[in-house]
Amino acid sequence: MTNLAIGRLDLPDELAWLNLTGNASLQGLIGSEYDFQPSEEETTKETIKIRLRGSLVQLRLWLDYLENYQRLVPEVFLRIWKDNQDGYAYARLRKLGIQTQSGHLASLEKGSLEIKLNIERDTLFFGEEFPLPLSNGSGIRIINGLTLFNHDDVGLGHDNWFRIDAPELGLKSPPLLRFQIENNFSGSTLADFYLGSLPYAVGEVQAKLSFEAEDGGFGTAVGNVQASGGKYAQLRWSGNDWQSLGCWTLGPMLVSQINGGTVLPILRFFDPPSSSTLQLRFVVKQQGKVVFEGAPSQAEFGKSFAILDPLRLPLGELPLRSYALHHQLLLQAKQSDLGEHVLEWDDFLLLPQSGFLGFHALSGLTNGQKLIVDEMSGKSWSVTDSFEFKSHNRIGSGISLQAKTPQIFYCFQSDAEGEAMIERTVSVRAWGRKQWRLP
Amino acid sequence: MSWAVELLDRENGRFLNSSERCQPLKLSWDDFFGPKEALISCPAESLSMEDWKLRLGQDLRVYDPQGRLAWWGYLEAVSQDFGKLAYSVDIREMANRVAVRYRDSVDAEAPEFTQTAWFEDLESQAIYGQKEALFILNQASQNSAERFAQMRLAEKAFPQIRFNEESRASNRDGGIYRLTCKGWMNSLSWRIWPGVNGRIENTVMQSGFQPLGNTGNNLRLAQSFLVRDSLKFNRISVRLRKVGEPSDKLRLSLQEDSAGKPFGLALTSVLISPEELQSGSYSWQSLNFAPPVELTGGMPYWLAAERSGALNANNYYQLAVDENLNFEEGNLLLFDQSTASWKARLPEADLLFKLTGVRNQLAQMRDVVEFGGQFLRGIEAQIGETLDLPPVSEEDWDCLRVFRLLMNYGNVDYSPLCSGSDPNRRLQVWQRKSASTAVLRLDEKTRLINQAGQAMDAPWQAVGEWLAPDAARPLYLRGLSLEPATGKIIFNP
Repeated sequence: MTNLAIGRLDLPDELAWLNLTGNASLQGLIGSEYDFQPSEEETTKETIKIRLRGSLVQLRLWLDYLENYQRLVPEVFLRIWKDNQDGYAYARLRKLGIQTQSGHLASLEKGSLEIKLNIERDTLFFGEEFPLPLSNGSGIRIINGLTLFNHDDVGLGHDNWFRIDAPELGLKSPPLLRFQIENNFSGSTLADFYLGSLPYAVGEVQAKLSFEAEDGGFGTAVGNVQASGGKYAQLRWSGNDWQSLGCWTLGPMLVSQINGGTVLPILRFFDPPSSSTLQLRFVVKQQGKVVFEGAPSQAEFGKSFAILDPLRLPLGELPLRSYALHHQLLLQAKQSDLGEHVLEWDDFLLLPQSGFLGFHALSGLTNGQKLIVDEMSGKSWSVTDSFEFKSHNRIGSGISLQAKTPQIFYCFQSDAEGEAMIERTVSVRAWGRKQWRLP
Repeated sequence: MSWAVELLDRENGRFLNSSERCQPLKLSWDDFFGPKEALISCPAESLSMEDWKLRLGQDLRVYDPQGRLAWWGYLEAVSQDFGKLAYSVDIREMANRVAVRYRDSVDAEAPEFTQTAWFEDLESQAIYGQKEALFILNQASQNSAERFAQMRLAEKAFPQIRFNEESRASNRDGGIYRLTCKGWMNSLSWRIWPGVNGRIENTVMQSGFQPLGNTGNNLRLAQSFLVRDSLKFNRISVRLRKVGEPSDKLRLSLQEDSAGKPFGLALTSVLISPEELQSGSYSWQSLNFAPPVELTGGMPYWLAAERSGALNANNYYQLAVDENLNFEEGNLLLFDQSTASWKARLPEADLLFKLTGVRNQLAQMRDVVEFGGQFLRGIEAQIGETLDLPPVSEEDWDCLRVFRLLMNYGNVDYSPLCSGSDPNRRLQVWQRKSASTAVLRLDEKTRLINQAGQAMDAPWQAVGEWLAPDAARPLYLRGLSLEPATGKIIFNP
């Protein structure tokens, strides 16, 4: 018989569960009947009939347990033992109705009860949490913390991304994810940071979404070990018209991988701009002609990075039966101050937004502190010395992992002073819970 | 839906509320305010109405699911509904700097309206910033007007939590806070424009006259005046007549002050021809300075008059004066040729004159933002050539109204002007694009489509742009409102 229970996931032991089948249940259980209903909807309505016989005290205890769980919905789960997986499958309850039969009171006095539970649960069941192996230049299939730098150049391990090879995980449906991001940088606090992901087809080249300023072909390349790639670009101009800072080509595979999604451009300055009037935008050219001008974004004065308006790529809502034509990306700046303008900038990241989360710092994370992002509960919180606290406010649509494709996750970090030093690091761990429609 | 709302300290950017469950219900933008209004829903958790009260006027930001800062402004009001009961607190009615303009019922000699001093609550100002209210009383004494001002200050210095019985909220919304927010441009309405007088004048009834250039002891004449606000003076009027038939002209000039006397060098000047004048009676003569001259606020200057020719005892000029000395901010001197010095006229008098000033439109906008934009960080404009306009002299308008008036003039080319506060809280002013720039269009699902053929993720970026409907004339999008939960958009609401 199916081992069926309802209860809570946030408590550590079996006391959190009320078994609706088997000997381990409360006294008085005669039997139960679970009317399993496979569904294509997000939630599924089902019934569980429970037959009880026992003393008034025993029956009262059953009713008290059920009424307590009713109050705790949606933090209550249905649990089923999966013999074939040798583990439990869980589904969150969205509604729990307790229906008694006619003559309930008289029946109760006589020591016999039949209760019908009307449940509405998430259609997908999920399993126990397991660690997700992460890979980048620092290591392959790491589960105990993979280091991410705050830039991506040819230096060993200088990767601001990690990859999850989902096809190796044998997933049927996208898993529920949990990330842990630990600030393992011994310098300043981790303040605002951004995490974005992009799936791509098996066999395709992994997208490279970091671009060096000095490769844009404008201004002067200046060598400095504190710059990504060992160089930054310096540009001087006058006037208050739009000035091009550089031009890069996004190849057909890259723009096709973005697949109609958006990227959030994040520009890192080598020195923060001295003007409070600096505006930035991207212009897209195809076949040598300007076909799109992005909305201007105001650089936040005093910050060493600027977030530009997201770009949806490739342009034009293409069917993508074949690869999209390459795009030329022209970065432009505008300042309205009098005199000469000088801009020193290092690189930019097109943070993919197939999944996207931004974290705005309340207190930030000091060295050793960890931020947890739990997509199952939709919550994020931080941990220090096993105490929980809120270090960041979360923005963005959320992060998920597709079941069948490799997926790359990019991260951009900054500190409380608005600096985004390239040598910053975080250590990332991830866990998943498999999901099934039919457990 | 995964929009995010943040409430930050407007001074240092620190979080004042970090609930991730606040959601925008309705957002609007237009081409005057930029971000205009926002209605936000927040769960009833952690913060009480008293907590919200202290957060009024603080920095509220709304991010879209792609992390784009979509709306920014300040928290103006908070309400909480419980079925038929509701509480609310707002900053609209608050005033922590109060004055009264009144017609003096005691002093018959007083000007039409007198204004009391400003009465202030510094504690409230330290929390919320300066928020002014100017009350008008048709009949009052100074004492009663001041008492009225003090009473209003005591009543309004802090936001009050109100209790309303007529709530329209459904029970489902019970306890939810609703935040009403305004774009930063609206904070210009918090301060009353002090008014800039574009005229310096002594136009009272003539009582006396002063010959000029008929003897050596009235070779020149000069009237001093104090410039209150920096203005470009472009027009002068004096009241005078000719005696006989002078063949030379009368030169009027503006000069700087030098130790209580005219400096001697003209900043600008005009000539009055004798043909323009009558010999039997006085008339007002008005001429334009070419070029107009910028005089600095707070500084004394001189209006000097002299003949362009030699002394002539029979043919000369005679200027109207006021021997009752109504003009309090200057005095009249005569230049005596025999001693080569300026001396006071006896009996003392003031010249009858009128000086008119203008100020560049953009400079006036800067003045308004500098005075009224306590939370704003300046103004940046790309609006082409602007106009010289009489300064806005209204003393009971708020700064937002004055700014709107200045915007409504357009620029020299008759182009309408657009404005808005940017995320750095700088006011941006630009000229409206022409219809020929239209690249956006609406598709059959009334989605805004950009030049690359994509539905715009951020439709508010289309405000101030022209839409090119199929087979129709371009349509200007001056404003837009959005309900993020449903995606419902209203164009030009």
